[in-house]
Amino acid sequence: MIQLHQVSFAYQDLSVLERASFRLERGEFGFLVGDSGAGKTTLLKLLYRELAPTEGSLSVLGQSLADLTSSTLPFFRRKIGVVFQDWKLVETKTVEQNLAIPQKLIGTKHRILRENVNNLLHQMGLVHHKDALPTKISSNEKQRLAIARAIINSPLLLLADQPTETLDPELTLEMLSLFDALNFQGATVLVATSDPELPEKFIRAKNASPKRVFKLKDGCITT
Amino acid sequence: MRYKIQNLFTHIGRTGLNNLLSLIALAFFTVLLNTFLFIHTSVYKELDLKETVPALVAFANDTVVEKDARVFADQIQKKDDILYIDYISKEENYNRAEKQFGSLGSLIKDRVANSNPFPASLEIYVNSANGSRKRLEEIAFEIESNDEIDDVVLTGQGILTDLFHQTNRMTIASISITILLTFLIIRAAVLKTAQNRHEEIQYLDLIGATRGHLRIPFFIQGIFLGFCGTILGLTCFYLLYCLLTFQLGTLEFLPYYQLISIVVAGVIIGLFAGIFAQRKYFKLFRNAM
Repeated sequence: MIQLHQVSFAYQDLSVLERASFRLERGEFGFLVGDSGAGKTTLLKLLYRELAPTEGSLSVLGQSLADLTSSTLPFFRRKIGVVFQDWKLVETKTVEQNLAIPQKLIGTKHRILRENVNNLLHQMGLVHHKDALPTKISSNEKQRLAIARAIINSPLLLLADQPTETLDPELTLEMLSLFDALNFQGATVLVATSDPELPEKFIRAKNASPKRVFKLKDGCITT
Repeated sequence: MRYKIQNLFTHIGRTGLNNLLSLIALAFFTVLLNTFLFIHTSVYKELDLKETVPALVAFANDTVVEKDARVFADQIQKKDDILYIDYISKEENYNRAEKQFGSLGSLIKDRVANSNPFPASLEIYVNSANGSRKRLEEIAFEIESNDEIDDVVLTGQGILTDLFHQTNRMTIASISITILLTFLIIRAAVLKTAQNRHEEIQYLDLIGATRGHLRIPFFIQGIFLGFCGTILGLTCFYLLYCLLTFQLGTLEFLPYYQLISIVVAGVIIGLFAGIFAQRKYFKLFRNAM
């Protein structure tokens, strides 16, 4: 499902990943743990092909990323849900409109779209803010909106970049449970976090099944 | 499809004021262009009418008999730029004067009953393309230097030809300037909209929007601005024409083919401006995306 083989990446002279390798099988739930600046976001960007590695090979959803062209890349990305670290909410659109963008992009019928959007608004506790602009809601709510937007298309792969950073402990576990449910339905999930205790806390609190944990340090990945 | 259409409208509506100002600027330049085209068309029509009138009239001396005058006419007809020459006898000019002056003509005829004061004349038709006032004056001077000729007068066709050439140059210049300005205005408006939508475009790109999905709104906005700008400009120009009809007299409005050409040109320029704007935008922001 996700396979990194000897992947290196550098921003000009600054090396971020050095011959990093790991494998996450289809339907697995993994945590990518690393300190701030360790390269978690860079690694996720490599996975959804926002960045290209300077060395090594990557394969995601059975697709070698080196083989992607500008015409096949959009269709590859549609299979992936991403919770961006900076949320990337469209500030000129309401909460409801923001949530509808991924569904509209894949051409979901209007009636189904409304149903999916309403369900997620309820599930995320955003229904009262559905007509508000992202600038008028709290960081916590923005985070929930970003998560909702990433999962609305039921992606085959969910990549979440520090999705619980601004959430309180209770809501953090709530959101991880949501990812777990998505994983249970068959999606592969990779959550990047700077909290090394988070996987353990989640498994203990929710009595969840064991998860894969990848540690990212000095540009290398260890399990 | 529904989203694509919605996306187009939100794209255009994003910088509403910017687009509105662009439309006003485009309309203004369209009105200016139309004014030049209008003047050009009017002068052209006038010149077309004037082509049935001789550019020069040379009056022969009374001592010159018809045979000599015709020989002389044949000689000068060989000169460059002269199309042909009509010989008008004294009698014909005498009759023309009577017709031309109506009742006053009869009065004149009565007063000069025993003699014909009108001279024979040569009506000289000149190739209108080269019939500038300066050239006509040169021809007139050359003809007047002959003993057979008493006087040569210019009928005004030279001035009209000069005016036509001037309006020709001005119209070509105004068309070029309008094309350039229209292109720059639309390109700037589309780029501004793109910059305002940058976050959204960046997000759409990351979640799997295709090239067409991201780029088509740029082209459509360019076409929209080109179309609406020229339509607005033509409407304003037509209103101005209606307001000033009493001063313009019998001058006709621009022909349909010109109106349609202006709108089509606006649309094409808009499309190209949109294409260039998106190319510049994606070049500028490729690193940020």
